[in-house]
Amino acid sequence: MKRKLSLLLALMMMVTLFAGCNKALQNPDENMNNNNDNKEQGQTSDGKDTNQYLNVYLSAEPSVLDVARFVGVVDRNMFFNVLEPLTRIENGEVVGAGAESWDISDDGLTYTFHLRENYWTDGQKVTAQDYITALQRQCDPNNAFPHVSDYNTIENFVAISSGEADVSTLGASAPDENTLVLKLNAPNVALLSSTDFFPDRADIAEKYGDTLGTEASNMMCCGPYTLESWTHNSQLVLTKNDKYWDADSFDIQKVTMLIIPDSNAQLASLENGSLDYLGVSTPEYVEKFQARDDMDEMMLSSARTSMVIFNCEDSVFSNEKVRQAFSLALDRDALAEVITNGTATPAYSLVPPDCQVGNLNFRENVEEPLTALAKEVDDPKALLIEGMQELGLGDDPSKLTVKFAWGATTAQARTYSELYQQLWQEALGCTVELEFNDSATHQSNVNAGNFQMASMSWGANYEPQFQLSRWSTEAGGQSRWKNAEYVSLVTEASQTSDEQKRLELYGQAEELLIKEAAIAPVYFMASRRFYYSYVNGLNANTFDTTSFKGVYTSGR
Amino acid sequence: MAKFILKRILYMLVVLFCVITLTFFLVHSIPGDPITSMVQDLPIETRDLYLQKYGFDQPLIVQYVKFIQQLLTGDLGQSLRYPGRQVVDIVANYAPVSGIIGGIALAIGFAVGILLGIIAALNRNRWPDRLVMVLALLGTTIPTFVFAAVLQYVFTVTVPLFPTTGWGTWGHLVLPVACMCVGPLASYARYMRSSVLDITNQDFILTAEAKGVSSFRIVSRHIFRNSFLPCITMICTSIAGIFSGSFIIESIFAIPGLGKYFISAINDRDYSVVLGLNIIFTGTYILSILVCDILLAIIDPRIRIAEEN
Repeated sequence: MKRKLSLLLALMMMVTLFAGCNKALQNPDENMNNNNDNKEQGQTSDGKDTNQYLNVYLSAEPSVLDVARFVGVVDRNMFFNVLEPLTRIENGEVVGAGAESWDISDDGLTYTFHLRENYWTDGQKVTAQDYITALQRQCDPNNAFPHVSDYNTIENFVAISSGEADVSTLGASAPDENTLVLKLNAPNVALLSSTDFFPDRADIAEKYGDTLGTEASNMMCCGPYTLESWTHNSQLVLTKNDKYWDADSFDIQKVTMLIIPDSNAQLASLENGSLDYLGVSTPEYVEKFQARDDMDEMMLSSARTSMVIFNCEDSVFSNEKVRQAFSLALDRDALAEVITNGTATPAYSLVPPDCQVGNLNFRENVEEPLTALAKEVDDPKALLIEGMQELGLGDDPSKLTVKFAWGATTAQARTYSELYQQLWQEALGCTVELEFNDSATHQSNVNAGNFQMASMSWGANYEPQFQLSRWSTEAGGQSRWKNAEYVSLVTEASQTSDEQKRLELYGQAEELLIKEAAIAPVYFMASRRFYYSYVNGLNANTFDTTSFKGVYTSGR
Repeated sequence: MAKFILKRILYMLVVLFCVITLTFFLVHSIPGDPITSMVQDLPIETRDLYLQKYGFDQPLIVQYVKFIQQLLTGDLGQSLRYPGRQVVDIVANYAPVSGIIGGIALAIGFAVGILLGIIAALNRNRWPDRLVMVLALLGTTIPTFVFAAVLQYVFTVTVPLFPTTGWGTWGHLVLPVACMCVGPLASYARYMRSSVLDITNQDFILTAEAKGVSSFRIVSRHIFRNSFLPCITMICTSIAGIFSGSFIIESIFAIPGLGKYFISAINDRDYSVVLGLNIIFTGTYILSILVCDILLAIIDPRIRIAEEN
């Protein structure tokens, strides 16, 4: 009897297990299978495929698709697909999107946007109040919006988010449903190019509360695409929004975004056609894909600068000459070649070549400051000894030991940091110790000033102001480099509407930062993208926020 | 029997409480905080606001008391990295996904492993035994990620039979299940083999043989039944483990399971998810040990009697 009972119990355990499982398998939608798309493919007279779709790679699971609580760049990028910001960047230029046109007052403090006629997927019109709702929710202390941005120049935005002012005092108003007025504390030249002004529906936010934007069904879209399905940690499917104001101008009807964490799986997915394009850095695969007739490649700038940050409050690195010596001792060609397999460009400045000051390209007009410094200094080692003497550390670099912190614990991180170590030790004759931590620990060490030299990278925005202002904070940025002249240059630049003058101010600020060696820029990051030849119109402008406009397939 | 079970449940609760307390302080002692791992460089005021909202600015012991109070009401809290997702929902939605892959893999591994183990034992030191043991050795020593990468390349690129990544059709199951059943299969085969060999040398088998019982009957009634007993202990704890998923397999095949959540939650310093998942994993594990103990007590009176004395 007892044996039978035990057998029954064991059996029941197994049965309940599989009952639950069967439900799990049915749960995700049927669109999972990409092969569904491969129905009979025809072509229109202009050579475009009749069935326009893309399968693309997404680097991570979006955290939450709510403009007031989103966390990272993946979420932000998704907003450009499913929402309509006031402005977008197209082919490197700021263009109207949700706003058809705008007027800026002479003092640069009042922006009046005239909205375009656009609709939410439920048929309601997108109004100026929707854009205000987003801002109000972003400054609501209850949402603890974890970002600092160009919103901060909007009147009372900061005061409201710290609970010191009421939300009704926010400098945003809607004289009528098609007009949005933003009042600023101070002029902000980056306001239009930041393109982060999204609309948000108050009724939808209230309806879903905490669960807003956690599922495809718990949100409302008004962008070029609607989010059809979201299988967490697996894939998102976007379908073209026929109600979108500019729906006639683009071709792709459906985009499947696959979240693939493993790099081998990403490469296999491109190789067998499950993905239409992918950034590839593994040397063997680069060769393999280059040999294929049905694929092409393009270089994509990441608009990101890889750098070494010096702690200017450290007893050794408080000395400018020491920092300069460590900056100049790096062989940037070797580092870019070895670490990025030749895709990155050696950097002798902070601001990457993509950045614009209005219509002027920054890098084309401003020389890289470190190149000039390198001409002045023949021997970094002699400079280091000078610095050491100033600090009273003697004149023997071999007695100097410093620590270089790295924010990863992988085998690759070890190889790469050993290259830095070797370059410094050979050029300067000192001892460099390496320290490895996971990314969160590394960040918190750097923010707390608990380091000597740290590896770091900073992304750029369209305007150089974003990157430069990382070091104009009260604490002197992560380098703890306090320079009043620098702060005033950056502040003045961000309030100067004249492009030529602004460019010069940025240039002076950058020169200070690099020559006083608060950081040592190393290289501008880039990636090599392989795509199947049937994909046309892929955008190489890093800052473009045009969703999939301009892309089409031909001969898939 | 009731006293035996009651005592066990009491032990269980004590263990669970200790694990919760330990995890809480361990998780909070890792350097870094959720906001730092999410956003690179925030002004101090913005960071303070964020920490205040979630109560991280308070002393750890206050946070601990609050956490326990919240836990007693059955609330495991909300993810920090993925705002709006309740930990309870995360478990409810993704544990079944890990469960289905782990469950099928375990079932196949268990059935085939047991069968191979018996075959190996009955053919001791002949070629089937050697073959099974070599395969089992390979199965336990080749790391899952190597095996998974090879299978993925062969069956999705060289011979594209199955989808590369994703979830939703039976085709998506084949490769992950194949990868995950290798380990259990190999260890069950080895375990069953030694267990069968153990029983075969017992006196009662000799008695049965002497009495002229057919060899099929000896294997099926005497050897199999007795050697199967220790495997119950193994299967019970394995069943608890399948819901926690496999980080490696879930990453390689982009499967929306719990394993990936758990590991990335640690990297993201997503305190509530780490704690919530850990409580649930510990709970199911302890529970399965309890079920296993009860099962064994029912099957084997010796255990029950020993416990009662």
